[in-house]
Amino acid sequence: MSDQPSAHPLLSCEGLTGAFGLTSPLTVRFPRPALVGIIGPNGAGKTTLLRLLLGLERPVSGAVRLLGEDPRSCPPQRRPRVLSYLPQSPLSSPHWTLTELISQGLNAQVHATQTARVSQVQHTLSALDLAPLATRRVCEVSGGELRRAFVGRALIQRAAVTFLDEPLAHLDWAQREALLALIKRLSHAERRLTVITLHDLNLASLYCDELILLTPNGAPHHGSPDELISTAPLTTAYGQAPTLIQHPLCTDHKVLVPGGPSTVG
Amino acid sequence: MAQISHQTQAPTTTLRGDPLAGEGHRGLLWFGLGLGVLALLAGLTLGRAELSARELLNALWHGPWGSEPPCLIIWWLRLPQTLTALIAGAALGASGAALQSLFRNPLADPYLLGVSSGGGLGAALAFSSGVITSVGLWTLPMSSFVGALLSCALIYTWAWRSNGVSLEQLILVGVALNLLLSALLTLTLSLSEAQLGGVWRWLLGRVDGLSWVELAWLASASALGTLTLVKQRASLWLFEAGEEVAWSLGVEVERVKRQTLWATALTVGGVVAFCGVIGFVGLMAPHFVRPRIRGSSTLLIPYSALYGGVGLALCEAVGRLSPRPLPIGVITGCLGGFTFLWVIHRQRSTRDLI
Repeated sequence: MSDQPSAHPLLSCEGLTGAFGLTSPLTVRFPRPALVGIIGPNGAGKTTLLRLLLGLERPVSGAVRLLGEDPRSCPPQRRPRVLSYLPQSPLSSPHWTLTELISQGLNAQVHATQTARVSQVQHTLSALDLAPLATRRVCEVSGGELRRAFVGRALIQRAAVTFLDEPLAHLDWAQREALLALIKRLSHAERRLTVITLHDLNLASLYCDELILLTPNGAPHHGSPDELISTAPLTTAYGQAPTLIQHPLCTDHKVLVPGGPSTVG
Repeated sequence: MAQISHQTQAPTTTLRGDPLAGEGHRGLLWFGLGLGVLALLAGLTLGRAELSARELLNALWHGPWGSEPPCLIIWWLRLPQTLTALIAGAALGASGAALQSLFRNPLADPYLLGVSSGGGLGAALAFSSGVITSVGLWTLPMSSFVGALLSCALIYTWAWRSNGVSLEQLILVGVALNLLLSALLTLTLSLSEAQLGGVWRWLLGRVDGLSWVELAWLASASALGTLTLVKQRASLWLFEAGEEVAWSLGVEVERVKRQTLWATALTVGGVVAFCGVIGFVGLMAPHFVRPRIRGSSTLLIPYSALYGGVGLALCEAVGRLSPRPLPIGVITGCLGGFTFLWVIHRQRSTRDLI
């Protein structure tokens, strides 16, 4: 309770269904800062759920509450404090510098001094290992560096709830894990709720505090990684029995390995 | 090597000044102002009548009330012509930049919203129905201005959906309505028996022959619209990140769309009413500016206004070198076309244009 000064949970939804995917109602409540992963097979409605939660799509039934209010009716001035959003395919202009790209996240801080803005951008750039590229333009950096800068724009906003749609796409395995670890560290350090969609069940198992597992045409599940990264829910959701083993270092987590030729077909 | 030396200095220097604007644009500012002075000088000195430097200075000193030929030439022909080009070019440049940002489309130009064809149809209808001679000189600008605003209103209404205006719809409806209105314009001109040389000349664009009163009207419409766009520059910049991201960053997306469209219709409608359809300036100016304001992207609209104005004034000055009067659209088309091809050629290595 002491985690949350306001009486409202950071994010909650009741009986939520959407137009595409997410046909069975979902009821969840996230009172405390955490890293929440949305997982599920292609077409199960991960992106739809994320967009419903942040108010970009209208629910078919049910309601979403961000800090106790409907995100769709949140006044524009307050919106950047309540939510921040990184779409699956973020857009940019090749002429922006990375500094500019990240500073877009400070748009709402009209009263911040120039010095405060500069130091925030610098801080974010170095947290993402992008400090040497501060004045590089979008067309002069690699896909992975650009992806990290986009995540930086969403994080610098310091919104109560941060929504990231596949922030790990197009990154190699090492960068994926480093970025997810950073996202987790920041959401705990800055006491915010971060909701991400991801395909990598192993990272979901090792890093997410809570998971929502979506099943095409079936009921969504909400639980801890320990509950959901297990044979029964994954078989229902993906239509294929997973091969799970205990992680050699994090022994209370299970990870998925390919089943090998004998399990397919 | 370069990136390491940037490490400590860079963010501080790129974030000073206007909303997160950098210092890199200073050169662009002085270059643009220098070109502006050059355009003004060229506008005052070039022309069919040969004036000595003495006559020129004398005429400038005596002001617009003198009655000697140099005075009349400077104050009633050359200066209004150069000022018209500066104002119209600035309006077209700012509108082009705003629409390119709003639609995230490098091909967007100020005439995207049917303002040119709507204005043209209005003018042609006024001409062919004969009201032009009966009501007077103001009928042409008024009818084309009304035509321009009506076509913009039509596009805006057509693209309206339950939850706001869809930008994709706006672009598609704009293209379709432009084609439709152009066909109607050609139809009107073909069926009309009146003398239509005036309409054709106007359709190709002109900056000459405006009285100071007309110039004042043009300047008011342009200033109002351009300042609205300049005020929106930060929000329009965020539109380049996509409408939904702009929404999440606190931009009032529907208000920005509405104000941008009306400011553009007002500005470009005013330009079309007095100067006809001057092509290429609104498309070119932002493309020239965008790669050169490294780190100060929020200044795209003011700089596009500066370079649009200066560019059109230079084109106009070049046009006076021709032995016969040329429609300014021909000059902007030729110079703009070549410059644009050159810009595209140079940018091939750095991917797309927006």
